[in-house]
Amino acid sequence: MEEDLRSTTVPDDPVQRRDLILVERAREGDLDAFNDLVTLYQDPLFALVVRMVPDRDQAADVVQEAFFSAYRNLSSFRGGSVKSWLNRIGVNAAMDIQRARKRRPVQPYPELEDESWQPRAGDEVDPERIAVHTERSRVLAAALAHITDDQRTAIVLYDVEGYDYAEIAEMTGVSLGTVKSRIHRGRLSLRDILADRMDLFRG
Amino acid sequence: MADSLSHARHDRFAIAAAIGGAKAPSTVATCPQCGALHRDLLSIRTALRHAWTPKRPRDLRIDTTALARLRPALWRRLLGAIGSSRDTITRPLAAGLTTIGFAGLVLVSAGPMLVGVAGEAAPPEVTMHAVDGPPGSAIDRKFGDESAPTDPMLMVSGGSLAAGGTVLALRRIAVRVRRVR
Repeated sequence: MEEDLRSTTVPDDPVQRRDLILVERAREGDLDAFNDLVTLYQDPLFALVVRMVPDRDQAADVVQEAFFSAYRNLSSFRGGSVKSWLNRIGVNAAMDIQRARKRRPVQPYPELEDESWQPRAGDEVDPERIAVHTERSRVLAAALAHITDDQRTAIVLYDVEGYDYAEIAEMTGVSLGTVKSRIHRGRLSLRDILADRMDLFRG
Repeated sequence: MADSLSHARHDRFAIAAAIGGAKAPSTVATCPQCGALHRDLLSIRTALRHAWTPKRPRDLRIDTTALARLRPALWRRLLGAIGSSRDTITRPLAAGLTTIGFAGLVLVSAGPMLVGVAGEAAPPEVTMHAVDGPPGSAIDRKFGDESAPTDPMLMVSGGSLAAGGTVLALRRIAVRVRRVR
């Protein structure tokens, strides 16, 4: 039997409270409420997934599948942070696509065009700085695409998303030691790949 | 040259670990190359955090058409239920049916031999009664029924074996389909 989220958990955080209300309405069959959640979280979830699966279209498919999966499994949401719940679903979907890519003859991830970059909210609008930032992001994305899927996932979750080792171990189903090893080896690989372009990142 | 040689023996892995908060090895302060590696790794980490991501190519809201596609066909839902972690029925069912089928087949094929052995070991008067009995007596009919191809036990055993095999095959297909998806 589905539990009433509002009666079991009343979070102080207004964002969480809003999300729980939307989840509850979605559970009752309100598709608009669920789409409000999609509108709120599609950008951050896409930003997470596209770092793990560096192909815009494939990453969009993964995020779409993650939202479908979330909708199908609304009854399994047990409260807490909706963002974390969606992130976990997104990470699982991204790892599924990584495994599927391993089974097929793997094509390299496509190079992203300069006009496809999304400045973060509040970032500078100075054209010169935008150019530098775009180039930096493009070079970093290309380097990330060249390390192993496991290393990339661990680095994105730890260094970018801020999950701790234990959370990553639980999300990816490997030991704590393996997570640390993937992160450390991945960092060294990134530095080796970027050795000739380090001037972009220094200072 | 001497620096490079000694740097080759330094632990790069420990320097990479130090980026996450672990204590940096002393070589970061004493070896210029280790110091440069440490600084580069920090710069990369900072850049990763602030890097822009590609634009989302489309709106990912779910419309009613997609929602209709979300509800899978009946056979797909059944296949999804079979072999899932919540499925506690099909494996014992398949094992039970297959075992019953095998046991039945063994009994049917070994039955005449067992009765034959029992007949040889039987006391003389029983054997004589059987031999003396009129053609088509109960014993003759029994022996005749067991060797007939339409033996109900044979049919039940065969059916059970086939059903068990089918359930097992369905489980395998369901697991494979799930893995591919």
